[in-house]
Amino acid sequence: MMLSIPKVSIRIASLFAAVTLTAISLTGCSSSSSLASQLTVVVHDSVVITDAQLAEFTKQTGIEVTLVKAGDAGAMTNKLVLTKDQPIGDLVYGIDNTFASVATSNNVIAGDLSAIDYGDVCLNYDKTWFASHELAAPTSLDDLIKSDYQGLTVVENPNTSSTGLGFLAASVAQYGDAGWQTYWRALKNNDVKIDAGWEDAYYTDFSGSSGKGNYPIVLSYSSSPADEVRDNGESQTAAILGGCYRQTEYAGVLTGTKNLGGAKKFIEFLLSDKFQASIPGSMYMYPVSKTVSLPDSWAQFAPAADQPIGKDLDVNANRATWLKAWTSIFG
Amino acid sequence: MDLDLRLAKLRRVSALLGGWLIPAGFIGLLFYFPLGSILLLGFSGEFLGVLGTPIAVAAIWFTLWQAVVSVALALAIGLPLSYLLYRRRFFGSAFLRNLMLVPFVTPTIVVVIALQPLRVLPTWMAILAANLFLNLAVIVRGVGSSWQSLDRNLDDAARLDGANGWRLIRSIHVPVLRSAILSSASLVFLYCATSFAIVLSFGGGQIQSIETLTYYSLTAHLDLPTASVLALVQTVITVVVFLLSRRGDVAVEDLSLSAAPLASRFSVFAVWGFIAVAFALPIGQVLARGLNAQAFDWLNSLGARGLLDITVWQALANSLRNSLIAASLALVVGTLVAKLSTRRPGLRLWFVLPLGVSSVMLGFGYLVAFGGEPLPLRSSWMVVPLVQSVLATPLVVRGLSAALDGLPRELAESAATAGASGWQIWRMIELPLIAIAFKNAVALALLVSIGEFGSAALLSYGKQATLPVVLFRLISRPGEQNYSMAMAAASLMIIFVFAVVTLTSAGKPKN
Repeated sequence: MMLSIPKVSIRIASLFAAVTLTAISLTGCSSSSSLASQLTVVVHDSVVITDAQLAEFTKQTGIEVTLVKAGDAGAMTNKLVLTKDQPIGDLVYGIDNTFASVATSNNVIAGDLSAIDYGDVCLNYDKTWFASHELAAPTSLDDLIKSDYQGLTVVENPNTSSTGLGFLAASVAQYGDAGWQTYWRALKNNDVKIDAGWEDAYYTDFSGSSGKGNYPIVLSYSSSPADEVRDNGESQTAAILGGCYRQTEYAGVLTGTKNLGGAKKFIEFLLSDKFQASIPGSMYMYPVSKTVSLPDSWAQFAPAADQPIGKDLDVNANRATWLKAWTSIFG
Repeated sequence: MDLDLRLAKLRRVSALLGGWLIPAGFIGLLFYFPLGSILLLGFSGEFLGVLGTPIAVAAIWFTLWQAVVSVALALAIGLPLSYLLYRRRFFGSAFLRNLMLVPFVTPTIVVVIALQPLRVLPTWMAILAANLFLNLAVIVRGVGSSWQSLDRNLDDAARLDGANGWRLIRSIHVPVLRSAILSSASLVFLYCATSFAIVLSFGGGQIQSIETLTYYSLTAHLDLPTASVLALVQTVITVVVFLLSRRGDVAVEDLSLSAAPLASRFSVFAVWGFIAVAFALPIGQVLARGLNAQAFDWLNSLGARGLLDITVWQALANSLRNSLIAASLALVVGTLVAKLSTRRPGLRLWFVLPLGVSSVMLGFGYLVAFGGEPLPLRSSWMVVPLVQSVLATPLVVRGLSAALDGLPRELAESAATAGASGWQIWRMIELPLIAIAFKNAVALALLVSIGEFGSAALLSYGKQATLPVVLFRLISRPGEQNYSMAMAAASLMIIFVFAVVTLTSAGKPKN
């Protein structure tokens, strides 16, 4: 005797099966990245490599590249660790120095990491605001705890923002293990505002951005003033180049790649002058290459810091301890 | 004879099992399997110790109290509003009803932008206010649609007995509406308990909820034990809320309606005033910043200095495609579950759980579970619509179950006796009767997928980025062009949401 299933389910089942099969067949092609002519590059959200650049790489090498965006630098690194038995790509680009040791200590990276670009986490201020309030603009981390600058500063929370973590590292480098917590208590007493992310701080609270907020000092990057050039040809903002923390972004071959040669070629490509010259444009970072020149607006308004601090700190090893201490001040 | 009976029973059971196969397979493969994979990675000796850490305790406590207070406030403000908007008639009431729904289905990134003025408030107050802004419509609509269809003759009869005003509402309306109130209140509780962007942005990262702590445990610290324990706690909360609200899952379908009486002039002013300040003003602020020729001109670009991989328009197309796929799947699965579970409402729990699980957790689950053969889903663009269909399914199940449970069972039974097939009964009898609930479910599924950010940010490819992902990318970089484009994209989203809400709520139900 045949067992009958209601017709309604059969129709739905066939529809469902069709959709699922489509899904599976559409995914099928991606598993062929093991071929030597295919390369999957894992990058974080903010990495920009244009189609034209990829086409040029393909022309030079015959290798087709697939970019996989994998969240912010932290999410991406942890994704790589979680998936290391079945890696999601052949190489990674965009792991920064605060997460690099997570990747290396978990054996995600085969060989060494190569530095590709960097950015400096620096305080920015609104020149217009300080001019109209007849107050001298701040020039150092020390200034932020002076009463003249009470309630003027907004920074990102190091627990939730990589920019914030960079600044925390800068404060440790500047004031040492013994002094950095005292500095943050003083900042708190001086009514510093803490925001969760860069976009809240920069666009909602900073007075020098298009969001026109109420705080004339913000934690951002040394490159940001290049994007606040007004009609008069001047930038409305400037960076305080003392006490900056440098975030360096690396590329590395992923353990388990089946295209080691292709991955190495891609890293060479990232270090080529042509690609390096494009970095300030689309990625808002500085190229590591000394031979390429910066765009005019960068040279004028957004030079990198001369002497960034905190280079020798192992941020990853200290992250938990620092964040715990920081949170107990602001919790 | 005896054999026939047993065969008939066997046939019924197997038909039921066959029907369940699809939804069970769907939710099992796309939700429980990836979630289980990531939870398993988190199991270790220190597993339960996590619950004792001060930061976890604080996050759980904050999550619970802010959700409870938000629900209480939403009821206190939402019930009177619901009465006026659904039980009284006045100029523009339909417009106001639709406007209130906009925040609920708009991506929370946009909501956070719209609510910037709240940031002058103390943190906890801003979070509560934002919760209200987002969820008030759930109470107003959920209760309102039942209230609307409450028989007015009942009121007249009660009035003859001398009951009036509050007494009428308390003794006649509230008992009938209890189920609708319970059901919408529990939904608001779940949304507040799992809100991410609101807590993060208004809390400055200094207040953690279960959801935000899960996110940072995963993305910043790779602390799987903490993330797994928190995900389990969230699951337990969802189960408890579901069980509490189950008695409430009966709604009355709109069978309206004789014309509602006119509202008093005072209450018209009050409602218009409240909604203008609390809803129109913040939404209007985003539109004011986004709707200008320069910003729309920029929308054809890739952002200042080529920040984006695709234009906002292409992202919009991706979002629309994803949401069509996600909504279709969610509707198929949700409808099956709602239909098959009328006699076993407890089974719905299995399909409602995605409401209470962090989409980032689920996203990581996909990464671990669908890495290689036989289902290398994580490297396909289909992964985002599939996750979104899982997240939309609970809303379809809830909406349709409530409506189907309210139908008299004899209808389907007599049609079946007359020889109608299951499909015919659904198509000719049940669907027309629950048309409004079905339309609402379609709209909700579409909009939830359009606005989903957590998994899309984690799983979508460069060229496959959705509108919320692109919007976030734009406001993560300095410069007037990027900011203006973000505002224009946010405005587009608001307009789209309002259009869908207005279109799907237009028209009168068939009697």
